Amino acid sequence: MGRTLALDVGTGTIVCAEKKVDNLEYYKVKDAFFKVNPSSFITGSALDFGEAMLKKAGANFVKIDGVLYILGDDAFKFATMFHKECLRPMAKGVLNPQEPESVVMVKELIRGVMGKAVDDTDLVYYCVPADPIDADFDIVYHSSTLKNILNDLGYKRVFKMNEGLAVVYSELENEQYTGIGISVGAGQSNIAYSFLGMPIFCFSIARSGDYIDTQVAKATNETCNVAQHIKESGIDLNAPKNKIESAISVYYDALMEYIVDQFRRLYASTDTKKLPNILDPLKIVVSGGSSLPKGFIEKFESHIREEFPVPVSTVKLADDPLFAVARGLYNAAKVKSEA
Amino acid sequence: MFTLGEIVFLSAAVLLVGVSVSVCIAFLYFLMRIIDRRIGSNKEDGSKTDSVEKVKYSAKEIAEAKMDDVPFSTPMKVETSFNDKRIGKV
Repeated sequence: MGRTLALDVGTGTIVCAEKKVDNLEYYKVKDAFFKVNPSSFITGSALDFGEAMLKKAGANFVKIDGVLYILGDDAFKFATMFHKECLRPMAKGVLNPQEPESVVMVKELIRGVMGKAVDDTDLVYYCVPADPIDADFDIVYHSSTLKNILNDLGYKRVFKMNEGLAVVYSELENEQYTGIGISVGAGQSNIAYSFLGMPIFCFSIARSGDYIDTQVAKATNETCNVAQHIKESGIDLNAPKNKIESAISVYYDALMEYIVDQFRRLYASTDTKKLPNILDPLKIVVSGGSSLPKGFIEKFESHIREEFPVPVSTVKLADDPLFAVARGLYNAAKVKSEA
Repeated sequence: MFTLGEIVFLSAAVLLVGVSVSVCIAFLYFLMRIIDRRIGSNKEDGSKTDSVEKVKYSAKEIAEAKMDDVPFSTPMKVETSFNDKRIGKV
């Protein structure tokens, strides 16, 4: 019997989940790369030396037609060293058409965390965002490119699943998969309203962690990197200590209000015959790297309390926010593989 | 009235100006073509590189393109430091 794998391709990170013996094992890599520019760094025989140096340092890299690209977590270290920004193959939750190398880089990063298919029965579930309701792009190119990448790596049984729904599949088993799953990642926020595992509606918004970083950087005259670093270094949203932390807290409020407002609008515009009659209050589960700051859930709850169209019992953080999507995908893949 | 000499002189002048303008236009046209080919080329045959072609794609065109049409999907020499080893185990 082949392997069963789950693949969460996000703007910030790529995560693969696979069961080994009794435990679900995760492989995680930053979705970023750094191009080593030969003209400003090394050329000719020095390039070979640079390659050997990278190997010795244990950095993951790829060489395409003689040009070195450092991948994943190491890309950030090298970018900082050269006072440059990392390049990201994805933007706003989908493959970034502005970065021409994005397809190759994502393929190599996926190959890194998943490996190639072992046999034809290997089964993969990968996640895709829902169509954004506030941006002028769709997910068709992103979705079919990922499928082609997986096919190229030898995976024949490839299925996609909505990111928000994967959160529901990961966290709401005891609620018969009824509730609201929210994934607040780097590029997008994905929201799925599920009833007995069936999506009532799913949508995404093109605002998330990157939006907060950009707005904070503008408001405080800092760089996005600084804003992101402070945001990810244990900030308490309810007790900001300085100007930047205050700005982060303000923009988290703006993001949450926006998510709740968009849910409210979509709910109001959905045909009432398509909406289930909810008798018991529902659970909301939040996951994703941008949901990690302390005080996130309390803040989000306070926004939900003001006029939310669905009765809510609790708002909770996923057990493992960074891996909830991958776990949900794995749960779906397991059901498929046993069918 | 113009004398014969003046008519010949004026005709020659008009002809000369016409030829000069035509030569200038032709020269500029070929110059533009050469610049265009040089900027968009790092290949011996003067064909444009992928990177120059790529800037011409809009997000919409890429979204509508088939996989074979997507830039950078052409075969190229790719080597990785990790080969078939998996990376990023948590």
